[in-house]
Amino acid sequence: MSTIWLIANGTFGEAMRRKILNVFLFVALAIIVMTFAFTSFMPRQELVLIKSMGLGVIGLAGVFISVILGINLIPNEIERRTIYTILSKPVQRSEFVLGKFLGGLMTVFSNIALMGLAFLLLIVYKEHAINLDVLKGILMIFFQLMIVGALALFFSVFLSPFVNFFLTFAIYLLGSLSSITESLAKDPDHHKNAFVTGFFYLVHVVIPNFANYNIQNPIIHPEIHVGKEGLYIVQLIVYAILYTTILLTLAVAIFERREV
Amino acid sequence: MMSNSKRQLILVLALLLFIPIGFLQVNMDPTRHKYEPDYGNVKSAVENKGGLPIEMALGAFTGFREAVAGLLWVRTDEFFHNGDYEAITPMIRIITWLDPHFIDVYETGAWHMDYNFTDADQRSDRRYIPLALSLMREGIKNNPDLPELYSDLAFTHYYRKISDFNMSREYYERGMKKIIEIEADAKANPNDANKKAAAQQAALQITTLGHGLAHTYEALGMPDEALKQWEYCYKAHMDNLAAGFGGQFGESSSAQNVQKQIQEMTMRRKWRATMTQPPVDYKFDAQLVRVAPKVFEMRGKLNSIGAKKFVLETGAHEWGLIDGTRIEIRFQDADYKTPEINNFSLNSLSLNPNLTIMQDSASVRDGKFSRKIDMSKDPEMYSFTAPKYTVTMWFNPSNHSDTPPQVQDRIGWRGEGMTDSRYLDTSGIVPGDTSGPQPGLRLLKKTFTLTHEDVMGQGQKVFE
Repeated sequence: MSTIWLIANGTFGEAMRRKILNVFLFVALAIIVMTFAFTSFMPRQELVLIKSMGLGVIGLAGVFISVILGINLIPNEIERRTIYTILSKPVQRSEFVLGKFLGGLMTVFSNIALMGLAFLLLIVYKEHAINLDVLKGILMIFFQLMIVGALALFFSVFLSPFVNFFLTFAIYLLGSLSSITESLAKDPDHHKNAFVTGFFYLVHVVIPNFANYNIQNPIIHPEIHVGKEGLYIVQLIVYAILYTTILLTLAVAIFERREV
Repeated sequence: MMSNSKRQLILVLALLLFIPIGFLQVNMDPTRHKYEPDYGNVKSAVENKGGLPIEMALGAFTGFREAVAGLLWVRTDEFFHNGDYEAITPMIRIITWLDPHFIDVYETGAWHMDYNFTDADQRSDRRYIPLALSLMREGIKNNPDLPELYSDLAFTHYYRKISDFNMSREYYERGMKKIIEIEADAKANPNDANKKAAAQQAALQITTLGHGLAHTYEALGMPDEALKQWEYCYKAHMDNLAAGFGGQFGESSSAQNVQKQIQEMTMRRKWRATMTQPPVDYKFDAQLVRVAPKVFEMRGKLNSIGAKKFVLETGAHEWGLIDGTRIEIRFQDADYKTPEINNFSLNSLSLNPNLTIMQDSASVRDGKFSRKIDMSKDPEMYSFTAPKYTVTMWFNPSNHSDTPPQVQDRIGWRGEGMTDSRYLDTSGIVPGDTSGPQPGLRLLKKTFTLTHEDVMGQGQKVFE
């Protein structure tokens, strides 16, 4: 565990040195500008736009950070040949992969936390009250990004960063369109081919479902209350942990056999 | 290096984890549906004439859904201020598909449709009424726990716009039931902050929902139920005051207002029991005059006797003509019946360009009324393509906006103290857009049937 932690710390430190936090600054700036851009609207509309755009921007910036970090974590070490130094020490390949993932996750977390804090302060400024519901939205963005990061890292053990970038994004989009795949899998009138509906059903339940994590609607419209929200959030966290476990296990199994 | 068998075991275990993943996903789907728009609706918005750009639809699925809906709503407001009404309804449709919890869009959108798409003389385009009602019903279906939506549909649309007091009562009662459910749910879960906040919010709706229901009972000629409802409202306001809900001034002033209503209602019920008998002949008559093609003057008489100088405490009064009573006037295609739209699709937004409906009212002064209506200025609203038309003029004693209280003191809440040798209508059916009869209601009504030539002909022509 200490080896994983050491690699994670090193990865986190390196990401910080690469000034990846600058992304946070740009996003924070964008959010602050946004608050003044909507002041001409009615207060309720203004808040709808600020909250929705704010959470959307944090999520999108987070996806970019996760993908760019995830696709480069292992290939960079191979390209710079630093991996030989690490693996020549008593470090298991699985520890290396898990350490890199954890370091990447810590970087994503610090970014999301900073963006979330800026956003929370902005909402406090606008609503003159602390809105802790916003934190739920940011927490779910983090767990969504955990899967995105694991997916990028999984592909990075056998694909080039260029291909990985597009593939991860393609799966992110597909997973965000879960209501479409779910709709295609449904066939109440028995008009579709059973293989087609079966295929889409499989896609719906197997492809990581990123749309699950878009829980911002009741945060944006506080008068709306979704029943059993607590249970849903717990299910989402379990889903993220399970999916990440699968991807990391597969990544470790493939990386074990890879020539570096 | 990991052994082959160990590696294979790990791979199998990892793949087995897809079983709980699938199980979780299927379990989460029903809750996920509460957070995101229905795919079929967004697909329609892109494919049909809604013209939602595909990038906006994609944005809607990737975390910017509410932002897209919010920006479209801002654009809709610009359309309204530019008078581009035709663009508004598809936008309202798309926004509520994208974000079914955007309450402002249901309320403001339906209000625009019912009131603000007008002709040159500020008369609303009544072809929009079924759409407005459908939008509000959909809003309630998508947000069944928000009492304000029930109240808005009951008052703004059913009570005020089309005087359909049966439907107004139905939605007010459903809203009241919802308040009671929300409050009971909060009591059963005292540690749930969300439920507590919802209960507080719901308790404050008594001013709109509770008072509205009392007025509706009164309009339906049910003074006993109205009084009970006012008493319930008074208790609810006092409970709100004690719990510290809402502004103390607001609740206290509402409680005072309710007390006044109770006192007035109690006294009026007592006096009207004797004042409304025997029935008085209101001697209603109406005449229709074509002034020019599509231009008509509606005129007539109404012996609108009421209690002048009425003293609430003693019941003292003098009988005399009361000004301010209103006669409703409706001009429409002869075979038109207001449809009920259950599925508010983009296709249903196409208004029938060949349908003509006009509704207005005339005020009675010194027992006479007269109103000139020029429908020639708005050919898009009044196309006059049908072969036959009906023009109905009626007096509805139950409608607060048509009947001052002093007149009701003589003829009662439902016209029970009113008669007419020629035009008394006891069917209970209110002309216009109402859905069903109001039992016991007595109206005065006169209907004219016109041909296309009668409408389009040159020169003056009088219809009796």
